[in-house]
Amino acid sequence: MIALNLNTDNRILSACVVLTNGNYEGMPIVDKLPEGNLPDYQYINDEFIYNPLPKEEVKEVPSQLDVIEAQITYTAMMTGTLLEE
Amino acid sequence: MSYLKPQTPLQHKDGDYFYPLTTIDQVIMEDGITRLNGADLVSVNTDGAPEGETVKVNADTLDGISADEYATKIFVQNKIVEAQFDGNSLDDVKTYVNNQITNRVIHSGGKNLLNINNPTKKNTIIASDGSFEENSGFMTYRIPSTGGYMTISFAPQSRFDAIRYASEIDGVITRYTSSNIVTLDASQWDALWISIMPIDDFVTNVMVEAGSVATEYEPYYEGLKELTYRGVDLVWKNASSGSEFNAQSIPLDLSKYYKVEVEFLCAQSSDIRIIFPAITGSGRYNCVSDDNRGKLATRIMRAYSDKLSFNSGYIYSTYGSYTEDDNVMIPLKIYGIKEEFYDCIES
Repeated sequence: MIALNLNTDNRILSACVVLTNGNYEGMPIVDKLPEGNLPDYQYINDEFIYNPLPKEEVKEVPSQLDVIEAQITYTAMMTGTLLEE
Repeated sequence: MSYLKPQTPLQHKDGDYFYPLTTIDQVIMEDGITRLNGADLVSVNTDGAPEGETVKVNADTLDGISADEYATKIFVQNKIVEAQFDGNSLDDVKTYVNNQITNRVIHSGGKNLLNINNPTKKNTIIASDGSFEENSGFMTYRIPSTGGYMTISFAPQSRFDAIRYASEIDGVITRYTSSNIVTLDASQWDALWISIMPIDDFVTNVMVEAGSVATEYEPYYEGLKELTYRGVDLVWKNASSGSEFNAQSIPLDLSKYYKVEVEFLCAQSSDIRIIFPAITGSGRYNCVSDDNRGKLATRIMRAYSDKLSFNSGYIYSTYGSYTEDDNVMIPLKIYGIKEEFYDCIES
């Protein structure tokens, strides 16, 4: 037995094994899970609906060091003080 | 009942140890027919035929578990006992522990879950090749013979807790000898609680090298037993550890727990696990490990009285840039730790 943790649009956030001392009030209980990645599914009317969210392009957030380095380079270019390699 | 086959508990057979895991007074088939009563002894026969019918066990006798919850799986600490009929007679009964078939599991008569997992023969629980063996919620380690010592390698967080607990017990402990390694002189402590218990397959995080078991160290082992059963509950277990784990709150009644211990899988690309604690109601905890590819993997969690909240996972590069990644720091199991757990350590 498996309990589902759903978000507000019934998308599966996680699933846990039902333990004898657990309280699963309000959580759907199922016998088995669908194949694959759980967050790709919604659980609606006792059925698993495959509805993956579009994958967002992964953007790496620049660190402060990256930003400072870019600013230094830009300043050097504008002032003609860029060091030659 | 004529088909019952009483067997002697704790009997060693075919190199496997016999775990008398649970006591039942009744077994009820799927059709509701009671096939056993309190005088019956259910034993395991691994010669059973296929086409099983799952047995439901009246959990009323299982140490407080509600009688209304006829269970096909009985959780005994961290072990799962599943009784299953494969045919029409008990000759076909199979029992499983952690999905592995075992010699026999269920028998009746007077015991309860808490003491039934206590082996009466200590040597049967300590492996003869120097490895440890789980025993219902903690790891049992071989204690070195006189004059020896044991070296334990921990995952960082496990190490921290183990040392702290051991220090609380005895106040004296050898400090780290190198990263992630501590050497313990067995003469300096009375009992060793390897933190965070130990768990079904939580083997990769802890390694033990030790000499042979000496009978004079059995009191240590007794101490471990005493520490085990008080105040630690498994409260959540991930049923899909291969899935992403997005930011979420898991509804849990944590009001009776001083803190939780969460076992994480560091990354989907890794088999490394690590355990982090969070004190209930005390703020956010940043759980940091590595993603097995040279980058830091993090996830923040926070324990409330009624839930455990997780932020998204993140991967940090060497220079501090980061990306969201819900394939790292996947919670696998959550343990609730009560205050009484610390009482038994202090005693």
